[in-house]
Amino acid sequence: MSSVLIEELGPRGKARVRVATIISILVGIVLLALVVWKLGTAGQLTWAKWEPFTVWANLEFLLGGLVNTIKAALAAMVFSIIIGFFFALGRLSRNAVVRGLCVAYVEFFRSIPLLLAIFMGFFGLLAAGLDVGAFTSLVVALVAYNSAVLSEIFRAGIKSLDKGQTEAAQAIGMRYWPMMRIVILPQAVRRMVPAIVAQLATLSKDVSLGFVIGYEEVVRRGQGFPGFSDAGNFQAYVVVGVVYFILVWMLARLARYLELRQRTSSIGTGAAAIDGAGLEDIAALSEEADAAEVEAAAARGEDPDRVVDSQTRARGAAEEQGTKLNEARKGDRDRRRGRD
Amino acid sequence: MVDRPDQRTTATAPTGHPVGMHEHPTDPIPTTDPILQLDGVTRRYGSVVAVDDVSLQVGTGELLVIVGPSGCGKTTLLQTIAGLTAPDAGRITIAGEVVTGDGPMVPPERRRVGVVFQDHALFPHLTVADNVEFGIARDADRAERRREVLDLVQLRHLADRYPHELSGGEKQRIALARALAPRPAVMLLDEPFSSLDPNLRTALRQQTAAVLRESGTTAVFVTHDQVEALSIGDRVAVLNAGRLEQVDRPHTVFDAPASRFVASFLGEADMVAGVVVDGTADTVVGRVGVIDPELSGLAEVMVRPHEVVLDADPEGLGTVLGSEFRGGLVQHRVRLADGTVLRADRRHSEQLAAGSRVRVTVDAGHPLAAFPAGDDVSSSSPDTAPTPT
Repeated sequence: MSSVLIEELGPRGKARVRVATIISILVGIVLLALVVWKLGTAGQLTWAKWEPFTVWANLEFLLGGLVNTIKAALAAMVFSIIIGFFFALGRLSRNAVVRGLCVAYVEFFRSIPLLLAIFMGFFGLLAAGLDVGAFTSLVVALVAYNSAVLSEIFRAGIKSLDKGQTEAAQAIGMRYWPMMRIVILPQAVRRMVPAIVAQLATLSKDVSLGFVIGYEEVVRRGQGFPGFSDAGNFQAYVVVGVVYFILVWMLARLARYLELRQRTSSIGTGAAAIDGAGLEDIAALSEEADAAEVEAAAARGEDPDRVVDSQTRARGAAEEQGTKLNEARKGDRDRRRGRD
Repeated sequence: MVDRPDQRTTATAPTGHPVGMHEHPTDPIPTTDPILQLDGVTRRYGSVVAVDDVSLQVGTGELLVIVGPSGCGKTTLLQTIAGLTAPDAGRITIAGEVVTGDGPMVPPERRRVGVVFQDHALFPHLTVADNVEFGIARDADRAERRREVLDLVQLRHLADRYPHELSGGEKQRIALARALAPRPAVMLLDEPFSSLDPNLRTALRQQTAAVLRESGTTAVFVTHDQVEALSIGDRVAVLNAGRLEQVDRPHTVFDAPASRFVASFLGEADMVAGVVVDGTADTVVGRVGVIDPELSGLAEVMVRPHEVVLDADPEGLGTVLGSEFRGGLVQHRVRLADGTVLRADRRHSEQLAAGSRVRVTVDAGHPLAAFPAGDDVSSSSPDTAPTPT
């Protein structure tokens, strides 16, 4: 996952990068200072402007918006995942009609702007005589759009598995659903987790578009923050931005955690004992475990009472160290070649 | 190990030489109770005919090896039997059930076949035990059957390992156990050892053949390795450019090849010109018996390097052109009086120098295969064989 496909730079390249980095940082600092200075001279940084955010009633108003955001996001996530999953299976179906319908749905909702989907959901439902309110129509629109996007992620995850897995499952007599449940999905989901979580983070941010149909989520609450005119909502938006940042950052941590857990569980023995450790520790340990695994495999290969000869065993075990190690080796090789 | 002579007599008893002289060599050996039957199976990929009108019968408990060069269609043929690919024509019957040909194709999961893949295709997220167990029917005692098949491949102690913790050879044995677990009527093995190194291959193919025989499993084994085919097969089917060239016992396909292709694919073979009268050929390397009693007139006789005898003789009509050290043997290249170049194996302690004069004779211990002269335009020459991939 962290394979880097760039060539390592030589000493001169490194020096160039260092100079460019320093210049960029300096320019950034100057620009930031300029902004702060302009804001300051405009009176935006005075305590009076920020003081309302220390009042609990005001904060409660904002956090109420956050709760609405989370409610809509969670509802949309659950339905998007379920519906997206079935559309992915439909698109992989042997039945051409099922496949065609799924392709049409996915391609349509993937191509339209989400804002349009929201309008279509809200006014479409209204026109159909269903006054379901902003929450429901927002969730419907988010689900329509995100289930299409997620179904493509699911499909890619399933397609990324070797064809041999399906064939092997069929050859031992597994029917469709057992095959999906036992063989395909456990492997596919592991690969998809980062992409799914990234899409769910996007979905959470997209809840803010509910603003346009009057859904009282956190951005709208920021705009309607007590005591502020339309022109003077800068501080509220900053606070809402911080709130959003924390929300998405937590999702990203979750994704990282899930990714690590998947990695540690797939490298097997030795990594199982680190469950309780902190996230950073897990990251470090899992890398160590990778290395330990290679040594262990080599050690096993020297075991004399095995049937097969030790060289082959060691080679076989080393082969199985997964793409990561191979990629690392290949990277090393390429780098060496690059230097020669 | 359970010996099952009742079912294997036709297949395992090499009846000496010559075998099947009086029948067309591609006629299948009558098998008792064929459990797998192919009739006119054809599979095309665009304009390439990968499998061309193949008919075969495999008897219960038999181990049939399909051998051919890469791209000859052997994997495609196996996939049509497994149901992973649909043939364009033909009919396939497994254990009395027509699985392809009449009405809708029976999907792979409902055919009673087991498949061992070239890349083993174990489920990486499941333990060895789970890999093996999920194929066993629910009503059966799954744990018991799992132990049984793991014992069969002698890997019961690895039940709790994950595939990435196994060596290449162990993985293939687990793949075999997994395929055996649901008691398939026919086991299909698609070049299962081609990713392993030569020493391991030799050990593993004997073990695999033993496991299949011990469990009485009917198997179709695909390989491009002629030694593998000759050493483990009850019968060998030689496939070239999608067509079956010959199906017979290993000794027969080796000593009495039905075509020039089979002759040269299953081992090193050279042709010597001769005149055949009454089952005997007069050649530049002496008088030799030929298999086909019908043949007469100008012919080419097949000799293999281990059958050619070289005697150092200054008066000899052969000249050693050079030699190649191959470990136990040294293979010499010898030019005969008529310009033919033959290969001849000798013990490595008896290497002859290039330029030596030698007397060349043939000592085969059996009549030789011969083909009418000028017949090499037949589609069966390995050099002209198209190789669809």
